[in-house]
Amino acid sequence: MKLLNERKINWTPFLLFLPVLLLISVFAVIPMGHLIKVSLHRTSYLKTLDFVGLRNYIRVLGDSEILKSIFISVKYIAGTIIFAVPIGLVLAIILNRPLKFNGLFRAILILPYAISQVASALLWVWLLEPSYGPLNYIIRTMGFSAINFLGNPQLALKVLILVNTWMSFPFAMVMFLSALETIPHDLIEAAYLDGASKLAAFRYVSFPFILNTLLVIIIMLTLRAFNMVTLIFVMTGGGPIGTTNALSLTIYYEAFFNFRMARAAVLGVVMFALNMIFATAYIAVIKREAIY
Amino acid sequence: MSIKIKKKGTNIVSYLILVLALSFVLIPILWALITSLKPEETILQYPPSFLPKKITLKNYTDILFKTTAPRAFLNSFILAIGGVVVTLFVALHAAYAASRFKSRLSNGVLFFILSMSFLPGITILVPLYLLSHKLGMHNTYFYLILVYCSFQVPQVTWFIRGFIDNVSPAMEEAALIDGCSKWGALYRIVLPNILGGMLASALIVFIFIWNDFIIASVLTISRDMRNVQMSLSLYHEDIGIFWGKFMAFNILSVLPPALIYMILHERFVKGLAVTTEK
Repeated sequence: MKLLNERKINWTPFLLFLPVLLLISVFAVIPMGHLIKVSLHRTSYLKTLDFVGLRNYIRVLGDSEILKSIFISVKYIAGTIIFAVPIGLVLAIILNRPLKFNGLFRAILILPYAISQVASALLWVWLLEPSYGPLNYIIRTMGFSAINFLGNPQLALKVLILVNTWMSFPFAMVMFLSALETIPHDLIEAAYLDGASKLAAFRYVSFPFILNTLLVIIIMLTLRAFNMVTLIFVMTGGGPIGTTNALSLTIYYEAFFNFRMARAAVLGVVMFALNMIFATAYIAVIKREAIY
Repeated sequence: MSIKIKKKGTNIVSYLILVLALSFVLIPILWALITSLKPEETILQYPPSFLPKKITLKNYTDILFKTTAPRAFLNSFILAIGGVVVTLFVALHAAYAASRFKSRLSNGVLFFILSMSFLPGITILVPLYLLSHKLGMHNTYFYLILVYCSFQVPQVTWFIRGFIDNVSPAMEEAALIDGCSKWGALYRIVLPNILGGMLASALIVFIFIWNDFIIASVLTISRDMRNVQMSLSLYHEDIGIFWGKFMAFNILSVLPPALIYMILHERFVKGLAVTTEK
C-alpha cells in the first residue's frame, strides 16, 4: 500500500507536467542557450563561425547607435506609462460608481486593447494622413499648414506614444477596476464619517488596496512597450532619420533584414536581461499579494 | 441639498471625461469605418466628407471575392484553432498537476513555467528562426503552431490553475473511491467544472494568434502562408493604395477579436494580468 502511494505521488504530476516542460525546453530554454552561444561567436548569414568571447558585446554596447536606440525605448516606455496609467485610473474610478450606460462605456473603452498592432497602426496612419486625413483637414481649415506627423523627426515618437497609449490604457483601466471592486464600501464610508476628504480617503483607504495592481500595471505596460516591434515597424519603420528606432526594432532589423545574427544575439541577451529584472519584480509583487 | 448639487456636478464632470475618452477610442475606428463604406472615387476628395452621401459595400465584397485576403483569413483560422487546441491540452494537464499535487517541487515548476512568459518575444525569435531552418520546418503551420503554444502556455497554465483551485477536491475524492483513476477524475470531474475558464483561455489564445504579426513574419516566407496581419500590412504592396478597400480589410480583420472583447470584456481581462503581448 505504501509502495503504491509513493509511486502515485512521484509519477503522476511528472507526467502531467511533461508536455509543458518538453515544449518549453524545445522552444524556450534550448533556443535561449543557443542565443547566448551565437552571441559569443562570429556569424555569417545563418552560420555560426569561430568563438570570439565577449568581443561582440564590447563592440555592440560601445556603438552609439545602440545607446541611442536604448534611449528611444526608454522615452517610449516612459511616455506610455505617464499617459496610460493616469487615464486608466481616472476612468476606473468613474466607472466604479453606478452610472447610466456603465456596461456600454466599459465595453467600448476596452476596444483598443482587442485590436492588433497592425490594425491600430493603420487606423492611425489613415487618421493622420497628411493630404487626405481628417485631422489635417481640420488643421488646414484653422489656417495652419498640414502636418506630416509621422515624417517629422520631432513628432514621430510622440505620435507612437499617443497610439501606444490608445492601445494600452484599457488594460490599466480594467486592472484598476477589478482592484477597486475589492475595496469594502463601509471602509470608505467610515473614513468619510471620520471627516476625511475625498482625496484623503483615496490616499489612505483605497490606494493601499490598488498599490499592487498599480505596480503590476506599470511592469506589464513597461514590458509591452519595451518589447514592441510591430506598431513601430508598421507606422514609421524606425524613421524618420532613426528617431523611432527603439531597441526591439533594431533587433528585428539586424536579425531578419540585415542577417547580422551575432549582433542581434548580443542585443537579444541584453534585452532578455532587462526583461528578467522586471519579471523578478513582477513575481515578487504576486508573491506579496499571496501573503496578504 | 448642497450635497445633491455637488453630486450632480461630479456626475457631469464624469460624463464629460467619459465622452472625451470615448471620442479618443472611437474616432480612428469610425473614420476607418466611414472610409470603408465610401465609393473609392470619393475617398480622395477634398474636403473629405465626414458623412458620405453614398454608402456602398463594394469595398468589402472586393476584399472578400477579388483579393487573396480570404486565404489569409483561412491561414489565421487554421493557426488559431490549432494553437488553441494544443495550448489548452498542454496547459490543462500542467495546471491540474500544479493545483492538485502541491509540493515545493511542483510550486517551483509552476513558477519556472510562469517565468517563461517573460522571455521577450523578439529575443527568442532570433534562435527560433535559426532552429526552424535547422529542422527544415520554416514556413510550416506545424512549427508556427508549436511556437504560438510555447508563447501562450505559461500564462494559460497559470490562468487555468486558478479555476481548478476553485473546484472542490471532495468531488474528485468521491470519484476516486468509486474506482476512477486520477486521470479519469481530471476529465470527468474537473474538466466539466472549469468549462468557463477553458473557454476564456481559448479566446485569449485565439486573439493572441489572430493578432500576431511578428512571429508569423519571421517564421513564414511564402505568400500563401501569410496570416491576416501580414496580409494587411503588405496590402498596399500587393494591390496599391486604395484606402477604401484597405480600411474594409482592416475592419474585417478587427471584427473577431473586437466582438469577443465587447461581449466578454472584463470578465476575462482580469485573467490577462499575466498576459504579455510578444
